[in-house]
Amino acid sequence: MSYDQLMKILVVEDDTQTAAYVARALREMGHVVDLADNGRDGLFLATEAQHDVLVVDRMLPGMDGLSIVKALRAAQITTPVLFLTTMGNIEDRVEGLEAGADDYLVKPFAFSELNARINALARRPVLNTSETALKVGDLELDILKRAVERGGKRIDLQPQEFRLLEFLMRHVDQVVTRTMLLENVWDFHFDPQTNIVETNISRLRSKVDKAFDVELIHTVRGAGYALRSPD
Amino acid sequence: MLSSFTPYAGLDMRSDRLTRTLRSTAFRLAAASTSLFIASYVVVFAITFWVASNALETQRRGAIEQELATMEIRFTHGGLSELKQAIREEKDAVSGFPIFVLLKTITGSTFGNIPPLKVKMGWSDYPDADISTSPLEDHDERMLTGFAKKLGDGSILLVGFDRFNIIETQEAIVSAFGWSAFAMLFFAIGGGILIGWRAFYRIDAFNGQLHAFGEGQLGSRLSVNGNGDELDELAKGVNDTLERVERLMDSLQQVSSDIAHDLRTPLSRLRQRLEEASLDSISREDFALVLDDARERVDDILSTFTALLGIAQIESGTLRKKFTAINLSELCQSVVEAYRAAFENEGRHINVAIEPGVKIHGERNLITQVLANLLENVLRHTSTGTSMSLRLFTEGQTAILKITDNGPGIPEAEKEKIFQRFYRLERSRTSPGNGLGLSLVKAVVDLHSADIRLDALSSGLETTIQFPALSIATP
Repeated sequence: MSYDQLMKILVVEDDTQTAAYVARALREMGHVVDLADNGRDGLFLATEAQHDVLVVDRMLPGMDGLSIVKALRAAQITTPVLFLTTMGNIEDRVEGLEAGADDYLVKPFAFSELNARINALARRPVLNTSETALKVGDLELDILKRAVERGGKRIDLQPQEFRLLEFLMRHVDQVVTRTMLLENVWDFHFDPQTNIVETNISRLRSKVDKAFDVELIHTVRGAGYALRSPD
Repeated sequence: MLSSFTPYAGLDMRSDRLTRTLRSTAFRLAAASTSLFIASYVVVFAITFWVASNALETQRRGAIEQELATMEIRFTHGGLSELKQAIREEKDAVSGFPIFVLLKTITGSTFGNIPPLKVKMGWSDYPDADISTSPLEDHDERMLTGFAKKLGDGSILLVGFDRFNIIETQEAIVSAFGWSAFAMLFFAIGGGILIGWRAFYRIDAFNGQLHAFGEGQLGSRLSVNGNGDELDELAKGVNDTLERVERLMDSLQQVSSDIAHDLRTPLSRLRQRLEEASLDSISREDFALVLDDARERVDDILSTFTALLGIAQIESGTLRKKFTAINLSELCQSVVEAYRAAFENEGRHINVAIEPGVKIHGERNLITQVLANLLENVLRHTSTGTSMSLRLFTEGQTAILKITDNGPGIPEAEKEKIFQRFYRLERSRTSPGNGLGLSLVKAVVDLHSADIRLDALSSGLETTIQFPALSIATP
C-alpha cells in the first residue's frame, strides 16, 4: 500500500484495548497517532493540534462522541471525523452523520476496513465533488452525460454499474472495501449474505477491463478493491 | 420456621390488618359520610327537642291559665267556699296531668294540695315547693311551675303543674335520639369497616397474586369476581398486561435458549480450531490458515449478534420515529438491480413488474434490508435455472409486494415457525445463513404495521407483504 499517504490521526477511545490496537496498527502504517481516552481531552486535542483525521468513539466518559463532533463543527473545524459505533444500533449511525461525522464504522471492525476509510476521508477534501468528468488513464467518465469511454470506445453501463465505477474513480489509487461499496453504491447499511459486490464488480470488469490490455480494477486481497491508474 | 414467612403470609401482617383497614379508602369514605350524617342528625335532634319542649310548655301553661280562670269565675259567683269546692273537685279532675293549687286567703289561712310557700304574681318556678303529693312516681326532679293571681277579695290563688312532666318528655326525646344515634353509629362504623375490609381483602389478594407473578409464577392472575365493579375492571386491565408480560417472557426465554444453543456450535468449533493452532506440530502455513478460519468463525458469531441486536431494536419500536415517506417503487427497483447480477450469473430469470410512484411511510434502510433478505432467500433456497418474479402494485389503500419463485417452497406446517429466530427448515440446515433473515423481515413488517404471508404454490413459494400505502398528498 505504498500509495497511502502518511497522516496525523487523533484517536478518541476510552477502551484501552481497542485504542492500543488501533494506535499500533496505524503506527505500523507509518501514521502519527495521538490518543485521548475521554471526550474532553479528545475535544481539546482536536482543537489544539492539526490532524488529518479524527477517529471518535460514540460512547466516551466526560463528553460523548456526538457532542465532540457537534462542538467541532460549531467551531468551524472541518477535520474529517470517522465515528465508531457499537454494533446493532441503527440509530447511532444516523445520529452520528447528522451531527456532522463524515463516516462511521461499526465495532468490532477489521483493521483493513479502518485503514481504507481513514485513507478515503483524508483524501476527500482534494476531490471536488462538483467535477463533472473523471479520468483515470484512458478511462473517462462524464457525470452529466452519464457516459463512459475507454480509449475512445463507448462503454454501456447500467445505472448501478455507473455509480460503482464513479465511486472507484473518485477513490482512484485507494483501497475501497466491500462495506464501503455497499454503503455508497447500493445504500446497503447491513451485511448481505450474498456477495453482490463481487458479482457486480465482475460485471463491471467484463465491460471496463476485459477488452483492454491494462487492467484498472484490482482486487486487494483481504481488503477490497482498488481502481489504479496505470503507471 | 421463620424462614417460611413471606411478607404476604406473615402474622405481623395480620395484626396490621385492622390499621390498614382503618386507612382504607372505603373505610374513610364510610367514616366521612357517617360524620356528616351525625352532624345533620344533631341538628334535627336540636330542632325536634326545642319545638316539642315549647309546644308542651305552651299547652301546659294554657291549661293552667284556663283552670285558674274557671276557679276565678266560681269564686266570683260563690265566694271562697265555692272556690274551695272547685279546688277540691280539681284534685280529682281528669285534666290529663296533675294540677297543684294553693289558695292564700286574706286571713292568712291556706288551702290546697301544696304546703304554704311564698308566692310571686304571674308565672314563676317554685323549686322549693313540696309537691310530693303528686301522683307521679317519686323522683328528684319534680319542680312546680305555677301561675299566681290576686282574687277580688285580695286572696291569692296559685295554680301550677309539675315541671317534671315536660322534663320527662324531653328525656324521652333525648333517649330515643340517643339510642338511635348509637345504633346508627354502630351500623355506619361497622358497615364502613366491613366494606373497607372487603375491599382490603381483595386488594390484599391482588397483592399476593402480583407478588406470586413477580416471584416467577407467570401463570398467576388477579381474581375477577365478575360483578363488574371498578376492582374487577382494574383486575382485568392488570391481567391483560400480565398476559403480555408472560408472552414476552416466554419469547425472551425461547430466544435466550435459542441463542445459547445456536452459538454453542460455532463457539465450540472455534475452540477446536484454536486448539489446533496451539499444537506444536502445526506448520507455519497451516497456522495462518487456522487463524484465518478462526477469525471467520468469530465474524460469523458477531454477525449473528449484530442481527439479534438489530431485531431487538426493531422490535422495541423506537425506530418508528425515524419513519419518512419512502418511494417503495424506486427502492424495489434498486434492490432488484443490486441482485440482478447474482441471479443472472446462476442462470436464473428475473421478472419485475413495479407500479411506479408507490409510497409508504417507513424506515428506508429497514425496508431495503427486508427486500434484500427476501431476494437472498430465493437465491439460497432455489436451484439454478429457476425464475423469480417481483411485483409491486397498489390495491385500494394498500401497497402489495409479491415475490414468487418456482423453487421447492415450504411445507404447510412450517409456515408459522419460519419467522422464529434461528428457525431453519431441515433441508436448509447445511446451507449458509444464521436463521435470522425472516425473523428480521417479520420484525420490520410488524414495525411498519404491515402483513406478511407465505403461500405455497403448486411449485414454489409466494411471499406477500401488504403495506398501508401512503397517498402522495399526505406529508
